[in-house]
Amino acid sequence: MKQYKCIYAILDSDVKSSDHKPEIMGLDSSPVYFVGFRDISAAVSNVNQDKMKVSSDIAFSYEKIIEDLWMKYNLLPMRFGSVMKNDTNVIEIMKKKYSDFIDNLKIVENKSEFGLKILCDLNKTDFKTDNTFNLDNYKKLKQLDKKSVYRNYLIDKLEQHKSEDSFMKKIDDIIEKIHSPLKKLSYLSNVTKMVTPKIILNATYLVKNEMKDEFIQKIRQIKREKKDLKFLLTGPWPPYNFVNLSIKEHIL
Amino acid sequence: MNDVITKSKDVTLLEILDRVLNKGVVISGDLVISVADIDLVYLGLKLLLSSVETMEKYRGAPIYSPYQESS
Amino acid sequence: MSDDKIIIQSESIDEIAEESEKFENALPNKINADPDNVESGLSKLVLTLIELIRKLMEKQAMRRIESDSLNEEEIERLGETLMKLENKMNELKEIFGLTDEDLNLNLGPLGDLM
Repeated sequence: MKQYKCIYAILDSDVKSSDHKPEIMGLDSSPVYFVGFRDISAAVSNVNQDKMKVSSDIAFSYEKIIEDLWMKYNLLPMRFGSVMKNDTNVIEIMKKKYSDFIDNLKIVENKSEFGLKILCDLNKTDFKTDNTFNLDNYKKLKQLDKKSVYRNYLIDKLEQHKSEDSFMKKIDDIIEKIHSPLKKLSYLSNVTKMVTPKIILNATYLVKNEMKDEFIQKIRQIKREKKDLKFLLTGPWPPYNFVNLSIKEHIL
Repeated sequence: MNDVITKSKDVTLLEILDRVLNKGVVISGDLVISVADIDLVYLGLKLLLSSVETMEKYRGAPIYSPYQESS
Repeated sequence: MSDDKIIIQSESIDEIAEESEKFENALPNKINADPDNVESGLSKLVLTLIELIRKLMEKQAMRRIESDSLNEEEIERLGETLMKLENKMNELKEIFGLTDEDLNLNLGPLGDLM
């Protein structure tokens, strides 16, 4: 059966397969081996199919492989399903993207990623907005013919809009109070607000390993202070969210 | 007790899936055989505009006409 | 091994799993190219995007009214356009048999997008 090469990660040193014992088993029951280029290498294993299937078990296995590698090496994790034809092509990618890889490896060195999700309960009083919509503030709208269906439609929409605005402002304030101290304790961060009406914050932080404990303690402290919010902190993760490399390569 | 463990596993799975399937270094192009069997969501302005065009095309079409793919 | 990735969690953790799934289903991330399903999959995607645009336009219109830069005639015309747009959208949803939930329009206030 045709064998393809699944790449798991780019490592921060030229690892020789003989150095790495015991072997890590890749997906499809073939051992992970290493393809080197200058002072970096790719962790690769043979797979039997070109289109890799996904299942929760497979996802867990994939993550475990990356974590095993991460215990020993600084690395850039590859997205699941990065499959190439042969080792030569793997080397070609490393050659073409060498300086990008080196730069990115430097950024993530000795750091871990943490994921923070915060939920709020919209029914709690803190999030209720004071719905004092005053039509007097909108003279022109007010002056339109009271029988106009468009006028009434607009009044409804405007009221809705003002209510949303003040709600968003409240949420923004809360998020700022939470994210601001965490940003100070991290090297890089990505923040998304109001992912759904309930998930008000979905953030990832790249934290230096020596700052890890302080970072976690800070979140515990914030959680104590904000009893009306729900927190989910996960980590430490390999730096999936801090690898901003999207490589599109064509054979000339 | 089991309930809590299952839910924790669900949450961890979600976190792993998000990272493993949506994040990390991406390679595409001729040197790559495939990215995984997951289609990518493209939310660029280009798609927004072409979607509007597609909708306009069908606005005049009868309700029950079969969908026709335009290339 | 993977269970110890959770450092801090509040009770009702399943809510987070539910919410995340809702968000991930917001747009179909697998466009089913199976001929039987193409129509509904694509129409869902297209309508979701159209609705997003419509909501953004609505938001924009509200800001114009707030800024007091329109005269009465313009405001009335704006109201007419917005209302007709919303009605058209409801028509389309009916034609394609899609609800707001299908288009996952419960994504919360769009303030940030403006």
